[in-house]
Amino acid sequence: MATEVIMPKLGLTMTEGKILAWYKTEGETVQAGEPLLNVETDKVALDVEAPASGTLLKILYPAGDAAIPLETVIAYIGDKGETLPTLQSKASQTLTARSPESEYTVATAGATSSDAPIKISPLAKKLALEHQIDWETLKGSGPQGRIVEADILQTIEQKKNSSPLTSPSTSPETQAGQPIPYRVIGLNQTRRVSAQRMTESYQTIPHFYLRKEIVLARLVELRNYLLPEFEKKLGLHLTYTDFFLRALAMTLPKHPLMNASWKDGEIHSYTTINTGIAIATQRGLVVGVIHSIEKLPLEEIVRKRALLAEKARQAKLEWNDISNATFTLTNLGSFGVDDFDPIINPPQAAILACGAIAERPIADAGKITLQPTMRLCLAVDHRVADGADAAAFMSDLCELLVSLQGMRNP
Amino acid sequence: MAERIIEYREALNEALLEEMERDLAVFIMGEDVGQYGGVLKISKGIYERFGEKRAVDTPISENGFTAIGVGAALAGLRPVVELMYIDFACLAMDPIVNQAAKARYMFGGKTSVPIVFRTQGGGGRGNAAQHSQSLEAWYVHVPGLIVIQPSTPRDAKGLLKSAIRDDNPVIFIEHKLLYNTKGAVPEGEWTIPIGKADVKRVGNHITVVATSRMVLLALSAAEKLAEEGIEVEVVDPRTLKPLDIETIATSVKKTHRLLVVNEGARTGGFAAEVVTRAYEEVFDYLDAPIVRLTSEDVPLPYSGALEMAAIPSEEKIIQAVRGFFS
Repeated sequence: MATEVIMPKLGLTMTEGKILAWYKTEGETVQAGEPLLNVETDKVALDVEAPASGTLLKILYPAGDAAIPLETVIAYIGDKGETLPTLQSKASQTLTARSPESEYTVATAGATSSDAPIKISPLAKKLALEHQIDWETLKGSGPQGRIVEADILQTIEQKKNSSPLTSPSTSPETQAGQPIPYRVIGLNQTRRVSAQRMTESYQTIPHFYLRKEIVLARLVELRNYLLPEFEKKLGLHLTYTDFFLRALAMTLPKHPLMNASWKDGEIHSYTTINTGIAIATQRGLVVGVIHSIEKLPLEEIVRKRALLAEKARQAKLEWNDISNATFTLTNLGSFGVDDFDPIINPPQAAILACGAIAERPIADAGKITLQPTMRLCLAVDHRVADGADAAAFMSDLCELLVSLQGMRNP
Repeated sequence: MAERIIEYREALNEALLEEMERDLAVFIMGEDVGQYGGVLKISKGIYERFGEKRAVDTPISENGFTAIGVGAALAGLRPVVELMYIDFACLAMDPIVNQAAKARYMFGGKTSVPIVFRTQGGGGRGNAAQHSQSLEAWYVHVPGLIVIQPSTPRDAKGLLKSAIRDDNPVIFIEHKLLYNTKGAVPEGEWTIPIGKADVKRVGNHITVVATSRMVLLALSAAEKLAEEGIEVEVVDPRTLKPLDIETIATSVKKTHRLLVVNEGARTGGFAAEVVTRAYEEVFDYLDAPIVRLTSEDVPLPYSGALEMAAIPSEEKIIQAVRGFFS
């Protein structure tokens, strides 16, 4: 009896996965536990191990862009020459993989046209891939509505015309009643999930914001002092983010409502601090996580933060690197942004945004002086905490960043 | 080289005469190929010129004389055996498939079988199911055989001469409706290499790969389609095996569309082979699914109307090409 290989659930928020690569081809021998394929989930690419030993009898879904629902059978492992269980069509596999609540509507709808593959010629598909065009949104002009070369060429042309960088002077002025020329930018899995979760967060979580500007003259001094030491002794580049993380690690334990989740009418306050760090990558925003940060000295935080950033750049984050954050830090300081209002990353209850450290005029004992300051903005889920709770947290945090008491070691 | 307009039949006759003149080992054999000059007049004048030892009339016994031909080839002669209809070649499958195609390999290259089996096939003349078949796919399927189907007088002469000079068994399939067709053919010594396709018409919008008489239908269809603005490139493989897939692939890479026209029955036919090879070579260049146009899967009817309905026509090619664009 052949063993089914299914699209595994690799994380809480994962609903579907993309197969990036198969490490084995049909007919090859596999050992249980060895990497069989590489799957892209919401935010990471992960290796999936073979569930059994034997021969990889059949790959049902080749590597590609298709988003495959969880628990869909994607391959069979068994004895060489073994006959496979009756292969279900892709449509029926999709049905079995749906969650119970969606099954009803799907079952009554039957095989909807959206289940059918998009008709696109191989040439058109190749061109679309080369030019990063998302053909799923195109309407084909070929026989039976097939997307053909001409459709992709037209889209490329539109893309050119609508890109201000390539042809600013030739782009025609839009006339009233005429559609504005546009090009479609395809979504990768990271962006798709991010879009979905941010919308959900902004629409369902009652956000409120607290802003504060603090003088960081001493922090700038401390960082400049420690920078060469870290560089020399540890080979690590010390960033302001590392200090902010350390400050969060020290402050959050005293403010349980800031390190919490709204769950079905209850507040779950976490007993450990897992800080997420927003990292911009070519594939989109990912949030790397440092777990139990309250126990870590500054050196360890720097090391972990640097490793996460490197893994994110190389798209090598593992599931553990991005899961179970309880609070998120987002820093656009290096981009020169003064301040900004962040959106909470559910199911967390709060997120802290840091702007650039820059010289700004400060009222100082009746005089105006120029000092290095930073503007912070804290977004909080009002179901979990009130303004006063958040203000108390902000106050403690800012005091620490100014005083730097005990910043180096726990 | 001087060229004249002559018939397909004359071009074949010329090739035989020239090759027999050139090489004493070449001789012809078959039913009525000698004194009568051949039922289709391909061997006209050969008996008179070379005598009965080199223009051998045989009894109506395909299995027998084909096997004699294979034996003669093994012994060092270069026979050209005529099988009057490809339908009759069914009787001679054993010497062709089990002996001629295999000997060179089974003797480790120590012998060769330089023989040409000339025959003709195809429908369209009301000859009914037993005299109208297009069985080229059977021979294409057999390793060890070369299969040629010339569509023009020029190709007929150039390829028959090459076939006679080749040391491998060659199935040379003519078409009964092509014998009277005319075209420019070089005079005297001149050959066409085996395994080389010919682009019979240049176009940018779609490639039509056609064989034998279907080439002529594809060319006339292309004329009409050009009036609609569709420029058809017609590729004639000429040699079905070994197939010149490079020429076909080059054409499809340019046009991105492929229609394959073959007179054989649909299932398991030569068109299926071309389609598969094309998918293997040019999948990423295709802008539409490949289409094949073949005869229907029926024994060809005797009724003229039904026969025409069963085999590909110019009109069917036009319709099939239009289907790529609408």
